Amino acid sequence: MALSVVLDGRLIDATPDHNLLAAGLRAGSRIPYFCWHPALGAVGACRQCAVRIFDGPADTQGKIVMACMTKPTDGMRVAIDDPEVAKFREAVIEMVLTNHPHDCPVCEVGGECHLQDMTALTGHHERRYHFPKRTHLNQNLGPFIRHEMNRCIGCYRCVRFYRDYAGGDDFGVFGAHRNIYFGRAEDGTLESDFAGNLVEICPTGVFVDKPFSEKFRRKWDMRATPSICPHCAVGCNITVQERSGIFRRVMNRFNPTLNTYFLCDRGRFGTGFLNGAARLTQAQDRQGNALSPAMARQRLASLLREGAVIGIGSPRASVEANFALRAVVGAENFYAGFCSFDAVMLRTALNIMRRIRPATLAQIEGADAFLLLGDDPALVAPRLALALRQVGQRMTATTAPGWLDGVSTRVNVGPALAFTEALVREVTGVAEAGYTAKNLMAAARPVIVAGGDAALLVAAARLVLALRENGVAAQLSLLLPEANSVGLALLDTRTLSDAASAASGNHVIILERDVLREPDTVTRLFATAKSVTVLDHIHTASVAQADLAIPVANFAQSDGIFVNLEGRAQVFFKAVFGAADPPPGWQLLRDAAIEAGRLEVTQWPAHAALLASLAATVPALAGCAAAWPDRQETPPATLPHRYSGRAAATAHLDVQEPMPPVHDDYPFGTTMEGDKTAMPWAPGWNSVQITQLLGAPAAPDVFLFEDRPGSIEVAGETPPDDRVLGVEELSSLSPAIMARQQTVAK
Amino acid sequence: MERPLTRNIRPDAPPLDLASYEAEGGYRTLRAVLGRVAPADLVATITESGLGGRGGGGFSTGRKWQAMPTPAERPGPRYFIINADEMEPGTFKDRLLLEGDPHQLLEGLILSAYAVQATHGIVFVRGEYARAIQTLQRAVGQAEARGFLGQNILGSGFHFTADIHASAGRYICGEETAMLNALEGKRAIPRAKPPLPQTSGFFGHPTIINNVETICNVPHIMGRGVDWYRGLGVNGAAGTKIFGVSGRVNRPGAYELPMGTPLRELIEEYGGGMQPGVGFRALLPGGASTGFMQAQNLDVPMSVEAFAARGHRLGTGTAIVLDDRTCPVAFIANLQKFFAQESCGWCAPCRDGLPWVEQTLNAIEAGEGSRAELDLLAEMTGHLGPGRTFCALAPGAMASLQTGLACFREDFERHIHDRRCAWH
Repeated sequence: MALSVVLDGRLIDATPDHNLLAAGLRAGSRIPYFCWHPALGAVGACRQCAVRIFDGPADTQGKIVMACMTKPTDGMRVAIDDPEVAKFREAVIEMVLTNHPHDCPVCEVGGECHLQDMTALTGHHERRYHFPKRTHLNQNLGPFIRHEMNRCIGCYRCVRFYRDYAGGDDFGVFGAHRNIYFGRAEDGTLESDFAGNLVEICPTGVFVDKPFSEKFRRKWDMRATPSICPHCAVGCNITVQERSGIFRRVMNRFNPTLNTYFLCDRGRFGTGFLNGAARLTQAQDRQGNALSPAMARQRLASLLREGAVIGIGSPRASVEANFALRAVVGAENFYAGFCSFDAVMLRTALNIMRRIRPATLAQIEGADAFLLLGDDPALVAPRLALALRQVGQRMTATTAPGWLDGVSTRVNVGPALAFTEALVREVTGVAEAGYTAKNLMAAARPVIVAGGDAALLVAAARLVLALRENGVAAQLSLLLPEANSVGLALLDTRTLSDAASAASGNHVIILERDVLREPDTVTRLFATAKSVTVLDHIHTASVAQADLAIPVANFAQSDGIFVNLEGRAQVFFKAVFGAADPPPGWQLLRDAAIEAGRLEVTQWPAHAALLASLAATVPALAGCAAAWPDRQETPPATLPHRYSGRAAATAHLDVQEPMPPVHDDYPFGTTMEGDKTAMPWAPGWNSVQITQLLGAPAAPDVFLFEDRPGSIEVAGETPPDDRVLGVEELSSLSPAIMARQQTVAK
Repeated sequence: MERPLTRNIRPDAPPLDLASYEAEGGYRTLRAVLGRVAPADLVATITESGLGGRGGGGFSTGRKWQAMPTPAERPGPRYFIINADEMEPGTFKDRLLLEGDPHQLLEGLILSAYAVQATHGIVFVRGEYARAIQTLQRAVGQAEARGFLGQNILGSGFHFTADIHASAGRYICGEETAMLNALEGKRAIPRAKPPLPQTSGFFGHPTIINNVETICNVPHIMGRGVDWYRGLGVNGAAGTKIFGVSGRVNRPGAYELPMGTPLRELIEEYGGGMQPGVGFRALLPGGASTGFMQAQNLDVPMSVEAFAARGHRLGTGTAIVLDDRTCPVAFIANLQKFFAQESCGWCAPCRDGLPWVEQTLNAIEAGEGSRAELDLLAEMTGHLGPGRTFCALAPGAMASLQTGLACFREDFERHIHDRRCAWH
C-alpha cells in the first residue's frame, strides 16, 4: 500500500513495510543514523535520526520522534529541516564524539567513515567536551580483524550482526553506561565465519580489515572494480580494490537478490592469494627453466600443430577460458575433467536445474521453512547458509548435524536419501505424513536445500515437484562445488579418468587447475601423455610436473563469467592492472591457435565476439552474452574522483605521470574520467553505508535456467562419495588411500 | 487515622508470620474472593478505587490490568511481576513493606494474579535487600504449605505459583521492560514500546508489572470496598500512601498518610521540621528523578493529579530535603553521578550525555567551570529530555538539573565567578 507522506515539503514513496528513516533515505533525503541497518532493522539506540512529524494538516506543533522507530502513516508530514530537531541531531553527534579519538588521519576508515559522513551532515564541527575520554584496551581478535575499541560510538550494530544475524556466540557486549565494551570474553580469534562483515557493519573504525592494513591505501586512492567472488558456487558480488598493480582488499558489493550486504570470511579474506608467493608469474618448462611469454606461446602453438590435443577444463576458470580451450582442441577432445563423483552429480544437477529453476538467495531468505538434505551449507556455501539462517518461521529439519541446527526445529541424523524418499512418499500420499512432511505442506514458500550425491539431488527434486503438485510453492537449491562448476558442466561433464584415458600418446592442455588434487587418480595421465601443458596463475603440483607451464590471468586480472549455483551468469572485470599481467586464458589460447593455424586470424577480436561465438555454439550458455554489459560512450570510472599521488608515487623512477592502463574491452574507464564511479560513492556518502542508496548493478542479472516440464533422472551410475578419502592433499599421498583411489577409478 | 498498609508493621519486632498474619485478619479477603468473585469484577473494583501505580508513574492500576488480553484471546502462560527493585535514591518505602509485612504483599499478589488470571508470579527484589529476600522466601514457603500458592488454591480452581528473584543489581532493572530482559537472562536494557508488557512481556507472554506498594493496597480494597478506600484520602485523592522524608529534618523516616496530605505537613509535622541551626532550601518530592520544589510551593496536596496540575511530579512520594549547609551544585552533581553510572549504555544521549553533565557539574563545583558550561547544562536538559532518549532514565535525571539551574542560579554563578565553592 502506498502512503502519502510529505517529507520536507516533498511527496515521497512510503509503505507501512518501511520505517520513516528507510523511506526517507530511499527517497534521497539525508537523515543521519547509526544503529539502523537495512538488514538488521531499527532498534532506536543511537537517537540520531530524529525528525519532527505532524499528524495531518491541523497539527502545527508536531512532535520529535526517531524516524527509524516510526511507521509512516497516510497524510503524515515530516520535517528533517527543523531548527530544534537539527540542533538535537547535532548534539547527539557531539555526545557520541566525547569519547571518540581525533585519530581520523591515522585511522584506516578515515575518508570512508559513516561517522565522519554523519558528523558533516549534522554540521557539528566544534568540540566543547574537554574532559578525559574513557579508554579501552583492544583485543587480539585473530588474523582477520583488528580491534580499536576507543573509536566505538556504541551503535550495537556489531553485536546485533554477530549474534542475532550470524548466530555467533563468542562476541558480545560487556559492561554498562559509557563503559560498554564490544568484544570477546578474552583475547582470541573470532569464531564466526562471517566475522569479516564487522568491518562494513561498524559505522566507524572499531573493526579493521587486518590483511588490508598491511597494504593499506585510502578509499579514494584505490581503483575499484565490480567482481565476483571465486571461492565457491554462490558467486557473491564483490568489489576488488587495487593500487599500483597490487590487490588491496575485497569489499561486499550489494546485490539485492544474492549476497545483499554480507560476505563470508573465505570470500573476504581468501582473495589474498592474489598477492601470495604461490603466484605463477613466468612460463617454465619441466626442468623449471624460465621461458619468455612469446617463447611459451610459440611452444603452445607448436604442439597445437601436432594433431590431436586433449583439453581439460576447470571449474575455477571462466566460461570464456573453458570455451576457448574447447574450441581450440575441439569439443570431442575437451574434457571437463570432474572427478567421477562430481561428474555424475553435476550432470544430474543440470538435469534437475533444466526442470526446476534453482532458488535465488533472496528466495531462500524469503522462505518460510527450510529443509536441509545432506551437506552442511555452512561448509559448502557459507553465504547461502547465512541466508537460510534468516528464514522467518523456522519449521525446519536437517538430516545431518550442522551449523543451522540451532535454528532448526528438528534434526534427523541418518541417511539423507532414505529420509528424502520417505518424504516424497508422504507428500504424494502414499505414506502417512510425519512431522517434516506436514510442516512442508503447511508452509507457503518452503525451500529444500540439497547437497550430496546424484541420487540425493534427484530425490530432493522429486520432493519439490511433489510439493508443487500439492499446491505448495516449494523452491529447490542444490549445493554445488566451485565458482564455475555450472558453467563448465554446461560445456562438458566428462571425468578426469575419461580424459586420462584419452590422453595416452597425446598432448594435453590443462586449464587452471591442479588435477593432482582431485580424488580420481591422474598420475597415469602425466606418465602416458606425450606432453602436459598447464595454464594457471598459481604454482601447483601439476605445474611442477608439467612439460610446459604458462601463466594466465587470474579472476582479478581479467574479465570473465562464472555461472553460480543459482544458474546466474555473472561477470567479473579486470580489477588489478600490473606492469606485466599475463593474458587471460582465452586470449593465450586464441593467439596460440591462430599461430598454429587452428583458428582464423580474425577469430574473437574482442570479448563480445567470443561470447557471440559461445552463444552460437553452446545454446545453453547463450545467456552469457546478455550478461556482458555494453560499453557506454562515457564509461564509469574505476578510479575515484580524488585519486591522488599518481605522479608522486613513482617520482623516484620517472617524474612523468605514468600512462593510465589501456583496457578498452570492458565497460569501464581505467582513469578518473567518467560520469559515475565504480566505487560505491555519492556526494556526502563516503562510507560503505551508501550501498542501500545505489541504483542499478554493474551488470545485468542473467539466469540460465527456467522452470520446464520433463522428467528427472540420475545421469549415470552414482559412484561412492569419495570426497573424504582423496580430496585432501596430504592424505592423498598415503599408499593405502592411493590404492583405494585406484579401485575407485576403475 | 487508618493506616492499612502499615498496620501490622512494628519497627522493633520481626514481621508477622503466616499464623499471626491470619490472626490479624490476613488472607481473609483471599478466602472470600477466590472462586467467588469474577476476576473481571475485581479489575473493575481496582479501576474504580482510583488506585494508581506507587512506583512513581501513578498510572491507574485497573486500566493497566484491563490492557491485558484475556486468556481466551491469548492462551498460554500469563505472568504477574512485582517490581521490588527499589533503587531510587532517597526512597525506602517498599523496603518497609517487604521486610515488615511480607504476607500482605503475597496476598495482594495472589489476589491481583487472580484478577488478571495470571499463572505465575515473580517478585523482582533489589539485590541489596537481603533481609527482604529472606523474609519473602520464608513467606512464600509458608503460603505454599498453607495452600495459598500452588494448584487449585483454596479449592477455587485457580492455579498460581510465585518465585522470589534477587536482582543482580542495576537501577535500570526497575524499568519494567529492562526488568523483563533481566529476568529472561538478557542484558538489562529497556525494550521499545509498543508492544506493552501486557500483550508481550516475559518471554513474549502477557505480563503485568506492578510496584510493591501498589499491590499491598489490593487486599484492603478488595476486602473493604471502594468507598472505604476512597474515603481514606484527603483533598480529593484516594487511599493512603507511604510518604518519606530524608535529609536534615528532625524525624526522617517513612510515614503512611492519606493520599492528598499537603507536602508541608509531611516536612514540618511528621518530619518535625529542619534540625536546629539548619535552614530549608528546597526538596525533591519523590526521589532523585523529580524536580526541586522550594518553600513557597510546599502547600500542594500530595497526589499525582495535584502535583501534575502545578507542573511537578510526585514520583515515589519520598522527599529528599536540601538544606542551606549543603552545596546545591555538589548535591546535583552527586545525583548526576548516580544516573551516569546507572545508565544502561543502550542509547547514545543518556550513555554519553550524562557523564558529560556529571563532569561539567563537578568542574563548576570545583571552581573550574565557565558560563558557557552553564548554557551547556541548560542545553543538555533539553537533549536528554522526554522523548529524546530511549527510556525515562535520562529525563528523570534532567528533572533535578533543570529545576536546580532555575532554583540555584545564583549559586551556580557564584561558583563560576569566585572560582570556588562557598561551602568548602
